[in-house]
Amino acid sequence: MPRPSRPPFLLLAPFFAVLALFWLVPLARGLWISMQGNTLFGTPAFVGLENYRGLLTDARYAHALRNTVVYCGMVLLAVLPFSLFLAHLLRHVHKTLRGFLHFCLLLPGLTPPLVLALLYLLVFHGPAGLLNSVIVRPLGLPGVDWIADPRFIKFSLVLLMLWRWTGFMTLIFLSGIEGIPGAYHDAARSEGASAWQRFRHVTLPLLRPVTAFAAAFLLLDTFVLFEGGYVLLGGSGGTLDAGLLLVSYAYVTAFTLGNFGTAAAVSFSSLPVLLIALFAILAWGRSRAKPGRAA
Amino acid sequence: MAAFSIRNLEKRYPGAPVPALRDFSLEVGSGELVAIVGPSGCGKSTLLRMLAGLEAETAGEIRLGERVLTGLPPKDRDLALMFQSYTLLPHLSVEENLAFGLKLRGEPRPSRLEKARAIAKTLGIESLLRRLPSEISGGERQRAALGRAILRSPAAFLFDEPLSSLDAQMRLQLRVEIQRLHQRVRVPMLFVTHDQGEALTLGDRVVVLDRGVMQQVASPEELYRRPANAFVASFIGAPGMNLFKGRIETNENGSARFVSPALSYDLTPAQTAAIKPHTAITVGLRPEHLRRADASEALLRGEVTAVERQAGQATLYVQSGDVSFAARVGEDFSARPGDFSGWTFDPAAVSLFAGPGETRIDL
Repeated sequence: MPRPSRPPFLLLAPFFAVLALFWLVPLARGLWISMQGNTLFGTPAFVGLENYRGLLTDARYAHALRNTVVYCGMVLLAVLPFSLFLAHLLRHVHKTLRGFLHFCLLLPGLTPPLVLALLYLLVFHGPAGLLNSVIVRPLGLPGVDWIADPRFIKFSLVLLMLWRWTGFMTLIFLSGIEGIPGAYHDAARSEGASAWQRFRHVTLPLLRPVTAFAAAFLLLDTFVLFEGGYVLLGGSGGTLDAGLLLVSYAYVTAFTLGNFGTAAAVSFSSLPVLLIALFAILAWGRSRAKPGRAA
Repeated sequence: MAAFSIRNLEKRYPGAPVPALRDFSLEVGSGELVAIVGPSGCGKSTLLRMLAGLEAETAGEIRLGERVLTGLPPKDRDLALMFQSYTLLPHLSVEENLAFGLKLRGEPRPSRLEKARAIAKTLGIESLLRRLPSEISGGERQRAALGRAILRSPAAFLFDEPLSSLDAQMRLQLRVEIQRLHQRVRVPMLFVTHDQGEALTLGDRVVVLDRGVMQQVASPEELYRRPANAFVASFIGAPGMNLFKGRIETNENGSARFVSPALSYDLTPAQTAAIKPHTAITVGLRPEHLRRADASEALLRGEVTAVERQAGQATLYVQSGDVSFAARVGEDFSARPGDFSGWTFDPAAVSLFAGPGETRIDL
C-alpha cells in the first residue's frame, strides 16, 4: 500500500523555498535585529535580550499593550455580534435585493486599506468630519473631535474596524447560518423551541466553528491594523497616547526615534500573545460541548 | 386522550400548477396508528409538516381533540415529530438531546436528566448517554430521537420516514420499538413512509396518497385484498398487482369475456352481471394468485425474464408480448430465465377496475 516517500516533499519543495525566502528569512532577520543595540547610528552591537528587558520597564510599552488588548476586545465584541445580527436580517431580504446588498457589504473589505483610511479621515475629522455633521450635531450633541479627543480615539479606531469588516463578517455568518441543515431547526421547533431558543440552542452552537474563524481573522487584522491608525493619527499614538497600539508604538520607535532594535523587540514580544489568543480561539471553535456539561 | 381530526386540508405552493395536497380529510383515533404511504412527491411529508405546524396550510382545519391546531406555531401544538434525517443536536450529548424538549420548557436540570436516563433505559441506550451523536450509530441516533419525542409525553406522534436511512436490521428493531410505543401510549400516531411493506406492518389503517390526492384509506388487509383503484393495486404489494388492460367482449352463448393482448378469460357470472359489455377494463391479479399450468389449460403464457428468490418462495417475472407480469411460486419451482411458462388462476380472485380513475368494480 502507499508508502511515504520522497516525491511529495519534493513536489512541495518550491512552496517551502518561497516560504523560507520571504517569510522565515525576514522573521529571523527581525529576531536578529531585536537583539541589537545602536541600530540606526553607530555600529550595531549584539545586546542579547537587553531590548526585551527594557520593554518590561517601559511605561509607554505597557500602555500600548493595554490599549491593544482593550481595542482588540472591543472590536471583536462590536463586529461579531453586529455582523451576526445583520446576517439574520439579510436572510429575510428579498432574493432580488440580496446580490446588491452582498456587493455593498463586501465593498469596504475590498477597498485598499489606505484609501479607506483617507475615507475615515473624512468621517472622523473633528470640525469637518461627516460623523459630526451628519449624525452627532443633528442630534443636538456637541461635536466630538474623534481623532484628537483622547476619550474617543479608541472608539474611532473601533468604528473604523466595524466599518471595514462588518460586511465581510456578515457574509461569513450568512453562509454559516445557511449551512445549518433545516432539519435541526424543524426538530427544535417541534420540540417546542421559540425563535430565540432556536437561535440560542441551534444556530449559535452550530455556528461555533464559523464564529471562531471570523474571530481569528478579525483579531489578526485588528492586531496588525496599521494603515487606518497611521492615517487617522498621523503615525503617533494620538493625543495622550490614547490610540497608541503595539504596531504604532513599533513604528514610532523605529522611524521617529530611530531605534530599530527596540522596535523589533516590540513586534516580537507581541507574537506569543497573538499566537496564544489565535490558538485558543481556533481550539474553542473545534471543541464541542463536553458530554455532561450544561450547554 | 384526544383524536386527530383533519378536515379538507389543502396545500398549494405558489407557482405550482397543482396542489401538493388536495382536500385531505382523516380521523386518527387516540391509540390508533395510521400509516401514510405513497411515491415520492405524493404530498405525504407536506401533510405531516402541516400537521406539525412547520408549514402553513392553504385551506382546511386540523384539530386535536377539542383544540384547533390550525394557525398555532409548532411549539404550542404539543406534538412530537420524528424525522428521516438525524436531528439530534451535534453539540449535545445523547442525554442532553433526550432532555432538550424539557429544557426548552424550563424543567430543572436534575429532573430532566433523570427522565432522560429513564427513557434511555427503556430504549436500551443507557450506555450511550454521555456520547455525542457523532459517536453513535444511525440506529442509536434514531432511537435517541424517538426517546426525545417520547420524553415530553406529546399529545400525538408524527413520524416522517424515521426508518428510511437505517439498514435492514436496524429498521426492524426500531419498527418493533415503535410498535411497543404504540401499544403503551394511547395517543394518535401518523407514520409517513414510501415503503408499502412498512405501512402494512405498522398501520392499524393505511392511507395511500398519490399526487396529493388520497386514493384509499383502509386496513392493511382491505387495502391488499380490495384496492380502491388500479394505482393502489399496483402500489401495494411487492411486487404489486399485475394489471392487464383490455376490453369486455360477448361470447356466442351470451357470457362475457375479457380480452387483452396477454390475457383472455371468461368472466364469472357475478363479474358479468357487474360489467357492461364492450367497455374498456383493467384486470388485476396478485402474483400469488397465478398457478403454473400446462399449455392446454394456460390462460397466460410468456417467457421467464428474471427470477427473484426470497426465503421460502420466489417471484418470476414473465414477459408476454409487450406485457410483463410477476408470479409468486413456492421454492420447489423449476424455472430459469428464458424458459417458457404457462399460468392459470381462479377467475373469482381477480380485481376489476374501470372508468377514468380506474376505480374498483365491486361485485
